[in-house]
Amino acid sequence: MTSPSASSAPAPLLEVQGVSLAYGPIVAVRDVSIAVPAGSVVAIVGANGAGKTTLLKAICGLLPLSGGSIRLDGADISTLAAHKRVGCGIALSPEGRQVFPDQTVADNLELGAYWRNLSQKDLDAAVEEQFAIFPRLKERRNQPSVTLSGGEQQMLAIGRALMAAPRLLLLDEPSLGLAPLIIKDIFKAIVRLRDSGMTILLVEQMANLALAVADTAYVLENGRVTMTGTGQELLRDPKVRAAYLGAGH
Amino acid sequence: MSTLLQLVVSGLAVGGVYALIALSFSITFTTTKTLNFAQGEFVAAGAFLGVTVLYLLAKMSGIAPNFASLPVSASAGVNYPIAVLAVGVVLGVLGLLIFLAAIRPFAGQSGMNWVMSTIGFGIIVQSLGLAIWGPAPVNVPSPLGDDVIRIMGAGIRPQEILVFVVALVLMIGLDQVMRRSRIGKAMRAVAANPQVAALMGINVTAMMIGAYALSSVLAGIGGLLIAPITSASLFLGMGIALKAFSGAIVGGLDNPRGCIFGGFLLGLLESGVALWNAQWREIVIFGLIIAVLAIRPNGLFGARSLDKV
Ligand SMILES: Nc1ncnc2c1ncn2[C@@H]1O[C@H](COP(=O)(O)OP(=O)(O)O)[C@@H](O)[C@H]1O
Ligand SMILES: [Mg+2]
Repeated sequence: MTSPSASSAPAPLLEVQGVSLAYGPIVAVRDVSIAVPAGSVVAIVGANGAGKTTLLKAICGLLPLSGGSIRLDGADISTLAAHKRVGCGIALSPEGRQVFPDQTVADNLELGAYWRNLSQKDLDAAVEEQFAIFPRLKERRNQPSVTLSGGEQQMLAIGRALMAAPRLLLLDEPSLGLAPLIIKDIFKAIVRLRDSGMTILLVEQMANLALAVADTAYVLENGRVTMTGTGQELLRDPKVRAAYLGAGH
Repeated sequence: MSTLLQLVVSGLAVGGVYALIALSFSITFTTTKTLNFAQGEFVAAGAFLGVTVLYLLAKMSGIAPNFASLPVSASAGVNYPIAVLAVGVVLGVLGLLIFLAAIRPFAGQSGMNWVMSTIGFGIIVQSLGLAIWGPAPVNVPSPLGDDVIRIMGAGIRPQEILVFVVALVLMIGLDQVMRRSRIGKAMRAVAANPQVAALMGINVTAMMIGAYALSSVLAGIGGLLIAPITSASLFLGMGIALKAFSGAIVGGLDNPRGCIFGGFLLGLLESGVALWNAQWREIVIFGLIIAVLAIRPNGLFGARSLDKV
């Protein structure tokens, strides 16, 4: 497998170098290095418990590193507090959506832009941009988000992350628990975001979908990167097919 | 009729203070998942700080007041509002201190160390209070005067109306801030999910400090509001905080509006039962609380009923 950051490429937007992460004595991620070049979609696939969410949390600053470093645009952000990283351009749509349940769709979106401190007029415009991407949210703008379906909540979680005007969008299992038709919708939106130039780091157990949209992909097993390649290479790889695509795909 | 009116007015006044302090419990509970067990001492501290400010203001205006029984003029004009403001500022700082000293060191840890540390902080505050002011209760004049007014045969103290109105205005104001303002929505985001709130760029620690400061301000103002009715004592807060806490539990600790309702309910019950038989007051009230919790473990408006929505 070839390394994604070939010699001629510019420094990647996100560079995770030799990162290890632990919950107390339990080591969840060991010596992981990944690179996300600007304008590309990078996928991390792996089984449940492989350490994907842990890695994304660390990138957002929700978990301290026990080793290695994280660089954004060349700057070391390894110890930057979580609430300051969004201002550097990192936004996460977390696993399981985690919308603020008692707040309305519009309020959730506005909270996504909290750090930008926009005027109400600019805030409204930004909210409308999300409604253009996810029209179903518009009809529900004044509903508490707890009343949304799973798919709508996923759209809201992505929209809320986009409200931060990120340079790097992290998506943690956007397909989790959703019906196939809804998953298709979500991935269509991801493809549109990719085509508009957004840099995306996508984590998925649904390996076939993630690999299909990814420029580069990593396989994470038991907290270690075991394979790297282009999305297409990994889609064709017999080991990946056996382990993650299984029968029926 | 006149006794009923009297009962309702005094119930709403005491209930207003219970509601204010029940809300203050809810504010720290929702944002930090901790409670300030020094809240009772903060109520008393608010009352005594307020009296001290009134005393100093009276002294500055040239009269030689007696601290234990200030003249009505000491609370007149802008003096009482100034005292409220001063109490707000000092208690806000006290809230910040208790967060840093008694909550922050244990944040994110399992266990109940914060229970002991906030109780300990309260005992320190009370002991300092005893050293400064001594144990004797102090009469506090109402800014509206202490003459009982007669409405439809009922004798009503002006302070009772003031307490109810101020508590209500404060709570409606806070409710609106929490629902409509950017900072209120951010605070609710921290309450719902601190990790995800941090992802929005919200400084979660600052919000938690703010929650403790706000909660303490409410406790202090509650103490200064009730003092003209009960007289100020360093042991005044314990009972009030316990009733307020009961109101919060009955209404649902995680539901601010439920807590306000619970506080008023307790105040009204208390004055109703006291009218019937003062000795049975506590027995009936706490019996009812236990019964409510047996039927609705999360309180009347707690998370359980919300989940069903
Ligand atoms: N809060 C936690 N405390 C302790 N262990 C955890 C915690 N979260 C995750 N883990 C462990 O870390 C490992 C990686 O989990 P996670 O990152 O959630 O995996 P994935 O997202 O790939 O399913 C798992 O073994 C999991 O049990
Ligand atoms: Mg995960």
